[in-house]
Formats: sequence, C-alpha cells, structure tokens
Amino acid sequence: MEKLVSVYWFAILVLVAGGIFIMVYTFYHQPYDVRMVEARILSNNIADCVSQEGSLVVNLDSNLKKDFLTNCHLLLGDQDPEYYFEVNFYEFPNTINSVFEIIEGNKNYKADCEVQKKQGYENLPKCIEKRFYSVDNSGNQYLIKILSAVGKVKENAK
Amino acid sequence: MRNKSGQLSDTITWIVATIIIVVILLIFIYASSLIAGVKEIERGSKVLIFGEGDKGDINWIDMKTSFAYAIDSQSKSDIDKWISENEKYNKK
Repeated sequence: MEKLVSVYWFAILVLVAGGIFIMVYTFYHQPYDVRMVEARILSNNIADCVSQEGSLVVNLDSNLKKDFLTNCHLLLGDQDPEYYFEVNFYEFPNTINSVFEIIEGNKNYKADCEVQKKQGYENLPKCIEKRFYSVDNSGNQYLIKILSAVGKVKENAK
Repeated sequence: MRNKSGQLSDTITWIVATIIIVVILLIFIYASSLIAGVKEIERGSKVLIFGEGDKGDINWIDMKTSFAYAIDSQSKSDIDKWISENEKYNKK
C-alpha cells in the first residue's frame, strides 16, 4: 500500500510540475511588442539630428536629403527595410505646403499608417507622428513634422 | 464487510483529491492563457525619457519646442495649436 501511495504522490508531483510548466510557457511565449518604443526612438534621433536647443542645425538643400541617413547615424537596412520615416519642414505661417521633405525607408509603410489611423491592426507597422518647432540662424520659423513607422511584425506580433 | 467499505472510502478520497488537483491546475492554466497575450511596451519609462509627456515624464521633442520659444516665441499660440493637431494612430 505504501508503495502505491508513493507512486501516486510521484504522479501528482509530475502533474503539478507539468501544469506549472504549461502556465509559464503560455504566459511568456507571447512576444513583447516594442515597435512603439522603437518608432519613438527613431523620431527622437531624427529630431535631434535636425534641431538642437531649438535651433535648426541643418541646411535645407539636396545634400541634406542625400546624406541624411549617414549624417544622422541611422541604419534602416539595405534590402526591404523594416523602418520608414518622413520629415516635413513647414515655414511658418504656411503649415499646409512643406518647403522641404525627407523620405527614407520602406515606402509601403506610409499607406499602412493611413490604415492605422482609422483602426489599429497588430499585423501592420506601428506609426507615430511627432511635431515640433525650430528656428534657423536667419530667424526663420520652421514647424517640423516627423512620421516614423516600424514594421518587424514577425518579431513583435503573433 | 466493514473492511471493504473502509477501502472504498479511502479510494474515493484519493480520487476526489486527484480530481480537485487537476481541476485547480486547469483553472490556473486557463487563467494564465487569458492574461497572456502580446505585451505591448508602448510607453518609454520616466528613466528613459521617451515618454509621451504624461505627469512626471519628460517629452524629448516638446523640450525642443520649448528651447525654440526661448529664441522666438512670436505666434506661440498658433504654433502650439499646430503641434497639438498631431495625428494620433491606433496602437492596438
């Protein structure tokens, strides 16, 4: 009888241990979605690159567009990047037509961001828009809008 | 006869105990599957200063605007209005 009881207790032990394993696996198996944080970091880095202490530190010319990624130390990936950003500069008071625009990364994400405005989908890139104000050396006032999007659906969504 | 009924009640006790353990385990497994799900780390922390500008957070980008106002704060209200029109995206 005692033998039978010890076998029973062993079986219960295995059962409880298995149950705890399943619980932990179920809980931690789901990924952490860090795309909003990544998009925010991207926006912050871009903002830091174009404006410091309230002053515009870039010249709005074709060289800026050409070397923007290098100058801002951004690596979006060579083939099919998982990032997208768009920086629009508006010369105040004209807030409709941007005077300068920089677009980099996966351009397909722009349309996905439009969809995300209406309804949030896990399996679409996460987008974030940031706006701020800056003044250049000549005293011109600029309003800057940064839209950044991060794909990486496989790594962050189930 | 009395011995047999004693054995039977013992067996029933063990079976009921096992069933209770299994049921409790199943409840916990179900509960953990309910609270599991994609965990969205959406907001930075106060320490990392990526915050949205909530109470106590420092908003990195808003600070740039504040610095710019120190240089030229003409049309501040219009600029603030434009900034607040910031497009909001669904975060689901």
